[in-house]
Amino acid sequence: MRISFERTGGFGNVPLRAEIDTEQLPPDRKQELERLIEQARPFDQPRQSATATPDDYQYEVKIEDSSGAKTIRTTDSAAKDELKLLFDGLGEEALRKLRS
Amino acid sequence: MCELHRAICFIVPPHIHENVTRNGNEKQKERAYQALNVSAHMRGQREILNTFAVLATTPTGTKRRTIYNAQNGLTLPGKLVRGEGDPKSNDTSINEAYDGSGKTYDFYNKVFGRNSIDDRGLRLDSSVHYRRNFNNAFWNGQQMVYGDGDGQIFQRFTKIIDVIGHELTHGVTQYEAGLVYQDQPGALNEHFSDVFGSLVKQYAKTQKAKQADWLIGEGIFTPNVHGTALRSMKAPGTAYNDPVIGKDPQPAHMKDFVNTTSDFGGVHINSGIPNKAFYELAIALGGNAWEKAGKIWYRTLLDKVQPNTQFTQCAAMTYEVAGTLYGTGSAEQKAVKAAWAVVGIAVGTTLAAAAAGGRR
Ligand SMILES: [Zn+2]
Ligand SMILES: [Zn+2]
Repeated sequence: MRISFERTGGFGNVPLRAEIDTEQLPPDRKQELERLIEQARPFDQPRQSATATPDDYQYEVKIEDSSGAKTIRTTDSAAKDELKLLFDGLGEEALRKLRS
Repeated sequence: MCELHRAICFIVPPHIHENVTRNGNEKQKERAYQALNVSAHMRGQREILNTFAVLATTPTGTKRRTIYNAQNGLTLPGKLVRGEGDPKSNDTSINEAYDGSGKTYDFYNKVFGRNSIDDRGLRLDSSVHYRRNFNNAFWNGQQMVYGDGDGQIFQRFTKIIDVIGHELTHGVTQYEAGLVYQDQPGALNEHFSDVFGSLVKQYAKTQKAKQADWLIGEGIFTPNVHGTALRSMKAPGTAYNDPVIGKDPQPAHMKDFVNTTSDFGGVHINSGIPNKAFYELAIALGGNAWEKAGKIWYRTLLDKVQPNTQFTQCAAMTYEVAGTLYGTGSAEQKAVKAAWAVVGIAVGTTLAAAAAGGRR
């Protein structure tokens, strides 16, 4: 699975962008991300609320697998808890990639 | 936040009530204020039932702070850990959130005579230890929320007094102007938070405009990062330059205005332009920045700014307010015009006055 992750906004607005290929990850981290995705069902979301709250994060995440590619755009505050956990997991992976 | 709670919390769009509080008759105003208070107080199902009792019995004109511990989870506000007047906790973040919101309350109260975020004594609620390694702090419409930072890029957000002043000012802006958090109005929303966040710090340190560092988030980065702060009002674009996180993207002039869809249309980016103008004004007027420059900006936020105000309109508004406060053609009003000219925004012309029109 290939994931293109972008997080902007937040108080600091330090953008975080990375391409993550789960096949390249160690097995435990690959499994963890797949678990988070399954739990979050990212494409099964209600439409994002129209009002942004101050210093909210803004996400654009594209997930690509054998069945095709889909993109989700949302704010952090509009995301349900399971999706927030997925974003945190992806953010950690993106940061690890940037620092390596 | 659960779906039910969200539906209740946002049943009353703040902007609508803000307009009524500004333009409505006395009865409408009272009702709107109550609705604003209701929505701001509804932050947990248990509290909803008590809301009207709270409104009826809470004395105004006093500082009331409540700190919660989210215990690294997603649920807000979390566990109540320190109320007003309670002894110090052994948790640094809790004490910093308590002290920082106190200093912010004191700044607004002593400098502008303001009684809390809504000027009606709204309780200041803060949650610390939100999520794990969370690199953010925000105002969610009802309360402040602080992450611990990941320890690699960011340290804890409660550590920085101007971050706390910045977040609380988002609350003030919500009640007073309702600036939409997108594009230029969003960048002005950010700008007012940076201005008063910096002034809270300067006031707490009793600094003159000349002595202040005019930095936002100074000391928030870990030593891993090449940078002194997140933003510089004095020199936008120079706060950090780091191989991992990149370079401070703020412009300092309209010719470098950034058109982007990220960051809600660059709200933390283009705020560099009005930030620089405010810095120039504060330096030109001298003394303590909150005395004149801060007062002009505060009155502009309260009396002029509307949900969709653009940069040029905001500039014209500050010019008009400076004229009202210090006299038409006064040195102060001229300094406002000169400060905006530095960032490429003309005010005091027929054109700018027309652009700001339609809302007197
Ligand atoms: Zn902000
Ligand atoms: Zn809820």
